[in-house]
Amino acid sequence: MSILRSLSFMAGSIVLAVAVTGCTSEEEPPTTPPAVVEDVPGSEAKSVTLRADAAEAVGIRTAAVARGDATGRLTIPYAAVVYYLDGSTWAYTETGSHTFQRAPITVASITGDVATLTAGPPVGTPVVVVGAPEVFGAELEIDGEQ
Amino acid sequence: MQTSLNLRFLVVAASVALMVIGITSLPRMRVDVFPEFAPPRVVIQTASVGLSTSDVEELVTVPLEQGLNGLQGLEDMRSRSVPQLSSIELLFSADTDLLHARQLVQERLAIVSPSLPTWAAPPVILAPVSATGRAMQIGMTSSKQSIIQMSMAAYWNIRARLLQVPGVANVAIWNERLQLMTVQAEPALMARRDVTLDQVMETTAAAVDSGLLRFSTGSVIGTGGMIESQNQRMPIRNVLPIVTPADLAEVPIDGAAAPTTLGDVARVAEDHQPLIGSAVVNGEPGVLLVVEKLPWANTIDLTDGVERAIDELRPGLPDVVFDTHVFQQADFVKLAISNLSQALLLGFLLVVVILMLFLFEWRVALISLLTIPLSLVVTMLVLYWREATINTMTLAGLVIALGAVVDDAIIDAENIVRRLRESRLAGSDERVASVILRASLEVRSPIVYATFIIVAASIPVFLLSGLTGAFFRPLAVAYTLAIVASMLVALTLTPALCLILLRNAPVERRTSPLVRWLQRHYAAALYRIVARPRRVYAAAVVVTLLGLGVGSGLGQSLFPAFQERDFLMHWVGVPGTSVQETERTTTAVSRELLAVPGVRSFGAHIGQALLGEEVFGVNFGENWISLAPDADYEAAREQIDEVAAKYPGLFAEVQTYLDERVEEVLTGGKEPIIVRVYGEDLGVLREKSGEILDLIASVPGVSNAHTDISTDIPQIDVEVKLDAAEKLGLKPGDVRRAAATMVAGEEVGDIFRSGRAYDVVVWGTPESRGDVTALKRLPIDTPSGTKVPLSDVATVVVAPNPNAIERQGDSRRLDVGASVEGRDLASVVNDINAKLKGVQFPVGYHAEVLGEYKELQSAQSRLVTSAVVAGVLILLLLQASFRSWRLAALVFFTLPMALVGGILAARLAGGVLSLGSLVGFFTVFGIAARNSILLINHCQHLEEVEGEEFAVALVVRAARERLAPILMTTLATGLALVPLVVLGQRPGHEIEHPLAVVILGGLVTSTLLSLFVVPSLYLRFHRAPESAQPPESPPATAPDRLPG
Repeated sequence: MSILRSLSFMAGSIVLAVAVTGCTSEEEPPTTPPAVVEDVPGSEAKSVTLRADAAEAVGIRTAAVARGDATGRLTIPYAAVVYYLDGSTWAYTETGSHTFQRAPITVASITGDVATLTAGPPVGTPVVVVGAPEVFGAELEIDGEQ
Repeated sequence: MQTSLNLRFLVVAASVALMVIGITSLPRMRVDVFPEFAPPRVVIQTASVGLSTSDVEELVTVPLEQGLNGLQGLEDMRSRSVPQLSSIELLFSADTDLLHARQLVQERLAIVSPSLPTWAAPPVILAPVSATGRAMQIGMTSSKQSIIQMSMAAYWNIRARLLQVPGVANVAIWNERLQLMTVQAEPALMARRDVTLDQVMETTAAAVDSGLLRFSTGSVIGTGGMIESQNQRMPIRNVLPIVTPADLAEVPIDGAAAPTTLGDVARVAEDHQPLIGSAVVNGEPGVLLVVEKLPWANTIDLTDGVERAIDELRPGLPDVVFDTHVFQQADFVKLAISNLSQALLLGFLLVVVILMLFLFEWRVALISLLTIPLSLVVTMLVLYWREATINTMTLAGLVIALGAVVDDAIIDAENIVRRLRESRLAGSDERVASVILRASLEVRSPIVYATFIIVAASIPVFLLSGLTGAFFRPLAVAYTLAIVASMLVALTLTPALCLILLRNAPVERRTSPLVRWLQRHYAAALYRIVARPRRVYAAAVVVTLLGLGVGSGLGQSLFPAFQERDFLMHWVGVPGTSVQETERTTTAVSRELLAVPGVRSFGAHIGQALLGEEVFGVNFGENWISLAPDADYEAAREQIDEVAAKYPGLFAEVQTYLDERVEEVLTGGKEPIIVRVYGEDLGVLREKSGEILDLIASVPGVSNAHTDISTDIPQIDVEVKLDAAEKLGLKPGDVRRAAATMVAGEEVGDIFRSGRAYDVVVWGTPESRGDVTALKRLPIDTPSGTKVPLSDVATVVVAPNPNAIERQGDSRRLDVGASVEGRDLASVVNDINAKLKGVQFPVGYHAEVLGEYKELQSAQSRLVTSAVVAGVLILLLLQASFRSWRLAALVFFTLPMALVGGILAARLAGGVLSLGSLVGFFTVFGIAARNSILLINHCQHLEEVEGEEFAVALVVRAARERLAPILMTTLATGLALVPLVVLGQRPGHEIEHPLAVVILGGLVTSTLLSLFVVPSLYLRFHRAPESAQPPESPPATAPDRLPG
């Protein structure tokens, strides 16, 4: 076999190999993100739905809005109060399974771990007491995922 | 050369001495992964207690920046302002002396500092650190000791001891909780007893030895004095009786109506200062020590020194568990260097095999094997004397140079042996020494010119600047030094050794059967080829065009991903998140990560530490994950990514430390692509960044696009109502001081005990400062003796304030960052640039694309320009060697064909040209030029010196005689690199792997070029005036020549 023939053979096979290597790898189907944010018509607060394992990982716990005995006013744990950027106060209520939405509250006073409200969600509404900053972060889409 | 023959024993002795010195110096050399790739930098931090972000920027950062403008050598100034901290980073040009720059900065600071607000602590210039400054991270946990106890040990004992280790620049302590004696005033009790806050403060200050309140009685420390009698002198020492909080609680308050003690109105207890940061170690709260290294430190020595120091301290702290493997840069260093050395050694062994096969004469092989290590050792010695580090780039340079070093070693020896054989077989009685001299002189000129050409071919790499220059220059230096050293050795030691060893050796007896076989077939093939040269020319052109075609389709990137076995994960919650919450989520994720198989240690630091290099709020954390050496890297990485992606509402990004450092040095950001938006108004900047984020997130290949987290945080603004305050006789400053003391605490004195100082702080009880309503109720003392709640005299509102403001070059800026996945950097950036053109910016705002791509572009343009210069130089050297412009031009224009193999190899290996590949091209170019020179020179030698007639036979003979050395060089260079390619992308090989791939591919085509194309061209174009010789028909068999 002459050197020239072997040269052209080599060149040909290289070209072939180059063409074949152009295939791309397969992509996995995307899974749902840990938090899905949706607009709620008629409200500036958005609805945040967490994936079940995401909610468990971050340790979301809720407690119910109660009525304080002495004054008859609403009480929630201090840990549920979230201050928004403009100073307004909110709490994250659970509106569905792992779905949360900010609800406005007005704080009258805070003693120890209990916040007494003059306005807020109705008695019995579950509010997030552990993990509220993460729900807040999800609503602001802080992880940058588009 | 005559001299080295005469003085041969002296030459050999000198070589032995050099070898010994070299080998003994090797262990003392500094070893690191990378060269210092950061330009000289100075970081200035100014702690500004109580200032919000915008205040810090306006009152501290901007005046400092303006005062530092125009410093000699200053190239870039970047700053970051967060609540209570300002950090400015100054980057100087590469040739600036760091210590000189620090002095200039110090001088400017002395001028600017007095104009800063008094509550801005004096600006501090941080210790100089290396580009990869974080050498080690050590976690401390304990089931028996509290964090406060561990912090005190860390600050007073451990840090002081670690700073003694040579090379340590700084030890920052995360989650440092200093033990304070606190007097927590209880507003209700104070009201009942009618005690004012001022009284509490003055009493406390006066109670201890050194009170800090300037105008209180406590500020007069008082000396001890002495008693002197006729005979003796005895000094007096006053021993402070206050040791425990209970002691301090018994102190009576000055000026109180009824006898009241501090304990009656306040809770006196030991506590710690308000936290600016925290740390989680292996799933529990702990203290994290970050050891930073000086730019000229030796990482391995430093790590050993620190480990020894910790071992010394362990017996004294039996309840504390130290984990020194949260992060150790030395792990990667050792791994990378050992992998590379292994590849180097394997390559060397393969070279030995080749030499034996080709030379078949053990003495000559021995000579070559002695000279090769000598050249390498001399190179290392020169580097040692220049105080350079051994790093992966230096080793890569040596690996690449191995081929040329071998070539120099072989070519002289091989020629000497050949001439000796000829002379012995011809029965000549010429003295051995004179044969050797003649043979050496014959190859001296080609060796010298070939060496100069290779050096000229690496000039472009020397001229690289910036980050790439810092990386690749050590490679070029090692490469060039090795080649020059091998040239010198070939000219001096090789002839001397040949004379000593071969004087009476029966070299004529054996030649390598492999060489004989190859030469026979090669000569036959060559005859056929030069008979029909057009085919060869056509093939050459086709191959070159193929190369161009494939080459233009290749992607480009700057740096590969480094395979460190430690990861860092940025863990950022929404700004304004509390430290407790960040600790909680960090602990949760740490438990999950520790459960991933292969994860050995976990350490996280949150927020800031005193004199630490992180300038962020307590919503920001970095989780450091260390893998065990035997862990499955890919699987672990995948699982870690999964865990990171699971948490909602948190920004999590996984990188390696070296990657992060390279990106940060390049831009100050941490991603390969940064679109930086400049302007004044934060609102507009945020809007434009959001717009740009949407645009680039849709570009294919972009992954993890995000803007800098720049949002507002809720901040409590307390503003005194002047008329209300005036009615009560209060001044705004009084209100501020009272509120500040109750909420933030005020240090009023110090207690010194057993060599340590403990602050005494007057504070409010946690309940009185735990929420906004409590703040509104905070009692303020009025001159008339009554107490009013704060909300009566001030408005207390929650208002937004930026979480951080970043500036560069005297302008505010905001970044949009992205990583690249699945496509190469250059194409992604081109798409981004196209999209950016469509964005409208208001006056005073603009955007720039920064990051790796900019560096790549500037490096490439520099390479191209300097490549032209190098090309001209090579042409001139070729002309000098051949003494013919025609030949020089011919050889020069065929050289690009040699590169085609490299391009094709790069395509097969992934289709991306990184900067390492480009450097590989220069190497191949040099080797191809070298082989062509040797061949043509030999043709000329045969014609001019041996008087052979110019004909096909001449060319074939010259080519055949040069076949063995050309093949040996090619095989030696190639095989030296085969371990690098075959062992794949191991840690340490990341930059060298593409280099090796390109060189291997290029060697194939360059050898074909030298063996087939160059002889044809020489035949065709030599002696043009005599017109082309008609090619003779090939004889039936190749003429039988003397073997060799």
